[in-house]
Amino acid sequence: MRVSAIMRTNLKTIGTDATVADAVAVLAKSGVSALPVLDRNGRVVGICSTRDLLDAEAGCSDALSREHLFERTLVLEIMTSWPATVGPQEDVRDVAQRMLDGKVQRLFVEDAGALVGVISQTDIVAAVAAARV
Amino acid sequence: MKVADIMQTNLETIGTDDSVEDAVEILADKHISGLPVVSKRGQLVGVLSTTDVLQLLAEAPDPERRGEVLEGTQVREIMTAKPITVGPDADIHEAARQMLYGEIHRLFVEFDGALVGVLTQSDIVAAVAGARL
Repeated sequence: MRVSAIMRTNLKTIGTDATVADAVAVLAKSGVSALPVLDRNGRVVGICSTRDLLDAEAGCSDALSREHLFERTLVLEIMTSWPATVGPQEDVRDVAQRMLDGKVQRLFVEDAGALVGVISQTDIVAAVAAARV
Repeated sequence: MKVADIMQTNLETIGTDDSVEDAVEILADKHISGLPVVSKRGQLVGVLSTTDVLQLLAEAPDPERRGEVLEGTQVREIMTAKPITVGPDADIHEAARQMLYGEIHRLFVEFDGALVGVLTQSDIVAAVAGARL
């Protein structure tokens, strides 16, 4: 089975000029666990996940440093830069292995340099549930 | 294939009275997305996930004091109570369906009323990657 058969194509994104507080709001509201970070030209330059946020938060020692993190820090500073991506024609089993190797919950799908979708561990579990794998 | 074949048995847990800040440290340190919450008697009473923490941060009434919220909130206040559990003899496809219907990333495995393991989406993804499903 290929990635394109089970990937999702309706993506929530955030800009490089957004603050950490903005990212928290978008993640909480949209119910997704990661946002692709796009530059002004619409190119993916990173991923901001709940994991990145909690890791950054865990690195704060007091209330003041946390306030600085949320209100005065840009997503750009805590995101995972230049994330690994997969192609829509790749085999789901190979992609499953890459998620495990990279310890990521999802991989974004790029086709000819353009962001076209996302495939998550949940999508693979759904394929298992439907006995498609 | 059964749940017991691919579940993890080495579990981190947190207590109901511990602070969310303590939980965040374990979540970040161990790179896990959900912690089983156990009572003083060691019984599974809830689960605290990175999503629960994110919601707490997003809903903090006063953004200026967001940093203090994590220390001042007990795990019991934001955990998801009575998490869905599965037995060690359950079929993997059935467990995958339960994850999807429950919109959860992990199922705790109970046997005779005791917490014996956890089955995460990653465990299922690993089985797919290894062509074991």
